[in-house]
Amino acid sequence: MLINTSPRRANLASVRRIKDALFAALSLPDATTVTVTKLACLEEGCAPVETVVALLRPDVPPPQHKLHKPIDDVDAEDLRRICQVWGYDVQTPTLVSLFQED
Amino acid sequence: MDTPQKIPVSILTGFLGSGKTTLLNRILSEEHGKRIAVIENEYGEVGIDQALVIDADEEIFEMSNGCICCTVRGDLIRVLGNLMKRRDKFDYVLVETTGLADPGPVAQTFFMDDEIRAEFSLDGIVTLVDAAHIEQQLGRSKESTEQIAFADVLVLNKTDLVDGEALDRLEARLRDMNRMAQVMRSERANVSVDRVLNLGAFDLDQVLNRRPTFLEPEYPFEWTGVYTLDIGRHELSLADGPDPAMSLVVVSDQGTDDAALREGAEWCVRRYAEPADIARPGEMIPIGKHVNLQLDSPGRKSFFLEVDTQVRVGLYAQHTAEEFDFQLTNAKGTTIRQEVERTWVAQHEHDDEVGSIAIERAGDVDPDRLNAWLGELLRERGVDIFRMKGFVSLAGESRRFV
Repeated sequence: MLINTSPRRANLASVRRIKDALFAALSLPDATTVTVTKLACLEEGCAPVETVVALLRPDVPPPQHKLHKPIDDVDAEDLRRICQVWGYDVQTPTLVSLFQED
Repeated sequence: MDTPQKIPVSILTGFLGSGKTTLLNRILSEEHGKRIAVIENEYGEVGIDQALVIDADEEIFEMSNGCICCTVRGDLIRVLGNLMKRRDKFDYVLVETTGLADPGPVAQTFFMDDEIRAEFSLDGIVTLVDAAHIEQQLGRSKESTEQIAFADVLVLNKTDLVDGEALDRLEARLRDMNRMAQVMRSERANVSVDRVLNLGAFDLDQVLNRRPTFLEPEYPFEWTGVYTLDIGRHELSLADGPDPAMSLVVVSDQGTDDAALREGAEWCVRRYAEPADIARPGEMIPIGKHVNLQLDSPGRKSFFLEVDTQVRVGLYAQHTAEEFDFQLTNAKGTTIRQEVERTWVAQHEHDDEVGSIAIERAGDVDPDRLNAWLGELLRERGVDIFRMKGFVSLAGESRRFV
């Protein structure tokens, strides 16, 4: 939703967990940014809430991946798929262990 | 969980030479008790101390998230992320952009990552304008137009280099381009810090406190006075004023309460859209018609109003009564005082490619329909919109949304 009445602050821990797991799994350098955003789209056929994860690297168009679920529901398997789409081969168990550390 | 306060962030923007660094130094050197972290793209010529200064290289990314396409500053997300690790060292963040920067990506960065959103709140966008050179800059660069369109505060700086009349013209032009911004004038960026920081530009109460007429629509007239006329001829006399002519509509059967005045105002907006009849000194003013009083001769000028029954009339005038020293007298020469008067937010001509539109509606808004409308508007016209700001009462929600 563009105007959203639900608080966004609640997802902060989940957002950090996703970012930290991706940074560790992909050994991303400091000059890289990962963004995680909860969004809703009114386009027909879209899920009501999406999680958009993007990788911002200097001089490269940012790859993005949309997960059709809220941030709190994102799991290691979702992250594996993101890594795969972005061209990285990371095994699920690695992500599971990174994702559960906290 | 204990959720700490979000850290307010101000964006300081302005074309090259507009005085950003001067204002920044003023902010940093004034006693305000805030510990400010500064993020800037380049170190200015004047040294900055007493503050955490972080250099950032501009890294712009285009992102398309759902219905919204936008550009964000990757460097800024990283810098802000790093700043969070030193959260105890500061309690305010200032982002200074380069003169040539489009402020859009900087502002959008605060909404496109949920971690940044949770930790920081965009307080306002302050744009410095070089009064002596902005006219040339506006013709040549898209960025200077964007900097003005995005602003919450426009500081019209270097006013000592421009004469008063040109300044008034420039201020009117800036207001046309961005109706929501507060405009203030300064010579050497000498504005007080509390007028540029902690604006709460996204907070309804603060906005209304600073500009009580913010939510008022614009009208083609500035003033209304309500008078009771007895049967017969009346004289309206005007002194020399700021214009050689003035538009006027006289409404009969005018009520005196606010609802009646607004109803009269809406009716007059339609009359004002019609071509005006010219009225010269000594001539009659027809009731219910758009007239243009010719005031170019020196000294007081008289016009006449005639009624065949006692009636209360509203004079909806392009200028205030004070500006022309309106005096209304009856056939015996007795002065008739107005029972009620009120002023309106005056409309201005729009001559720039950028302008502002306000939509006002009483009552609650259905959130689903509002979102559907916003979605469609952004899809169809998103590239034409710099910024939208709204105060919304959503149906079923006790909080007000800004």
